[in-house]
Amino acid sequence: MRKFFKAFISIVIALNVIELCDAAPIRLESMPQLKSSQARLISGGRLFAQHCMQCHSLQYFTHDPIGDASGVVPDRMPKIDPEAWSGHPPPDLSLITRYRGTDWLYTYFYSYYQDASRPTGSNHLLTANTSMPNPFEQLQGTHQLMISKDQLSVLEKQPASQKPPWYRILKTMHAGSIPAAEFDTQLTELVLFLEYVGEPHRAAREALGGWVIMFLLIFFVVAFLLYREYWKMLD
Amino acid sequence: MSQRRAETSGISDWINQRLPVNQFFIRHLVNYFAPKNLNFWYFFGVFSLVVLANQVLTGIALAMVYTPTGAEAFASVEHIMRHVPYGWLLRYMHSTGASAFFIVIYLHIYRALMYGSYRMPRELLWLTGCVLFMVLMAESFTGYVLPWGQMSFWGAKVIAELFGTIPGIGTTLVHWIQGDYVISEVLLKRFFAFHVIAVPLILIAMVMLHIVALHSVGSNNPEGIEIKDQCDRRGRPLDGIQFHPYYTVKDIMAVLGFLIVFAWVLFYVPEFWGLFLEPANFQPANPLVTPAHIQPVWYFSSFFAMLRAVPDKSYGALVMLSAVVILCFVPWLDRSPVRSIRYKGIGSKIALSCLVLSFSILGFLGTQPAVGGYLIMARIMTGVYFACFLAMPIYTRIESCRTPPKRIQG
Ligand code: HEM
Repeated sequence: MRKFFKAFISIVIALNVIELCDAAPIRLESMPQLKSSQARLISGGRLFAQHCMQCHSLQYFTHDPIGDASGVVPDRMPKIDPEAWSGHPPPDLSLITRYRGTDWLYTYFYSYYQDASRPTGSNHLLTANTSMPNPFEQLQGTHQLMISKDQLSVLEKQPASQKPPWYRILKTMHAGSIPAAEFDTQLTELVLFLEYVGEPHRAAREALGGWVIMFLLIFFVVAFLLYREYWKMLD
Repeated sequence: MSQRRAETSGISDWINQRLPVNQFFIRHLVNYFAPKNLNFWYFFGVFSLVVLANQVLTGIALAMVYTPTGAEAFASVEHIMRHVPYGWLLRYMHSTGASAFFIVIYLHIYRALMYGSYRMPRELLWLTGCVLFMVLMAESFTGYVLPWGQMSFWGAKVIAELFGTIPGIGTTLVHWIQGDYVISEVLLKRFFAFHVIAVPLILIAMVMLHIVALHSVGSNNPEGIEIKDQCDRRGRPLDGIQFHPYYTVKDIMAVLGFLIVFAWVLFYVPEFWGLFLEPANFQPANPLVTPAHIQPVWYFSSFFAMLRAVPDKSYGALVMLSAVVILCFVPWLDRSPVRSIRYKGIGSKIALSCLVLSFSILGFLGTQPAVGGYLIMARIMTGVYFACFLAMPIYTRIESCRTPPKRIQG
């Protein structure tokens, strides 16, 4: 039974990996295991307010202490005109982590590379030919694609397990204004913030879960003892 | 017992002289005899009642806020998740409950197949069950459309197109169902009406028939022998025990166990790794952007794989429909002299295993693209699935069975 359960879970996880990598030439990185905290969420929120909120809204995210402290508030969000950007306006990001997953979002910001043929000067491994420029070019620096575009499209057709990580096919051209490790932390905080925005009550949910399960367990023990008492009468 | 009850006066007497409440409970709980050997598999009927209650109660609360319009449906679900006090809890209870319903029902059906609970005299009990299964599918399909995410929209479109494959009337029928030339808010509002009132009414009525049928023929049991054949002088089955208190306490314990697992999923993995709540459905419906993969929720996955296994769409739809309807014929396909798998021969044991295996493999294949080896596999498994049913009259007749005991041992 346990074996079966393990196999089942690994199939489920494998399915999701296949699903999410789909046509990308690289595999997704796992986001660093940083423990989320109020301070981290606020600093991730600040990053969002500075670098993302000119273009992207979080329409389902209304006033809350973390949003207020980081400046991510409804009246500062852009009103998005669906006709602008030739019909492909920047999407709302309220649910981006629930839709794409945190690993995808984390890897997303490592997927930019310089490409002179694009109007933005850069291209992207996960969303090819995106019209979104790299918002962190200053902090992060720039990367160069080490393989040809043809090789990229070969990689796209590979099974997920055989795709390389981004750093095998991208090389740093110019270093960013902050050390890479520091950028990685900031980026992780941004992803944590967006994960929070995707489901603000998650912490409350997990906290309540413990109490509910404990209550049910106690009740279960009582019910078990009662059951045993009654069934003794049958012997 | 009855002595004491006769002494109580006042309200309870007043009521009972006018409405036989006590009599009802005594008849259906105390003087209702169930086999003493009902095992783990017999909990799933009660579990489905619990899940049904959960769906109805949380559904009522959700319907107070949810707005079935194209512009607001998706946002109103997010509003429930974020701004309605404990709205997230209600929504997760409902979404987890939907998947739990199917897990519980699949195991409930498996139990009936295992112990031959569909055999004479329980054919109508089984048939009401089959109808319940179909009604439940309608209920969950209409419900899945309501959040109006990408998969809601495109899933509805794929199913609507199936009706379009009916020769002659197809297109007209699709427009009639949709109330529009395309999938639109008109369909959303219709599905809302079906999901919150029409289908639940039928579901609850059918559950009542199911229980009435059960109580008139009595439970089967893992041995597959009739306890009513061996009674004492007062006409009580020798191997039966009073439902109350014995099975009421046992069921309460089991329900609590079930709720612990349910709560664990609900509070810690409500998306269940993308199976209970699919990532693609966290994007609002967009008629202009077709998702890369359109696939139904996990519990329809096996049937979806059968649909795609057939090259022609209308025949595919027919095969998919038959896969459900064939269940109704099982009482007459089974020709075995015994009921329970415990006493049946090797043929039945292999067939039941193949049935479970083919259905599970089809479930997996339904989540994969229907190409190459996957497609061939889906075709083979569809064949195996139907063979398990269609060959039933043969293998149940020729295999050698063991003779069940007259009484339940131990
Ligand atoms: C909403 C759905 C359903 C509910 C609430 C429900 C409820 C129940 C309950 C409470 C029992 C008695 C306890 C037990 O034996 O587990 C039962 C028995 C039974 N149910 Fe269901 N059921 C449902 C669906 C189905 C379906 C889909 C089928 C088959 C296709 C089915 C077939 C049976 C049979 C054959 C029995 C008698 C089993 C025996 O005595 O061995 N039921 N049901």
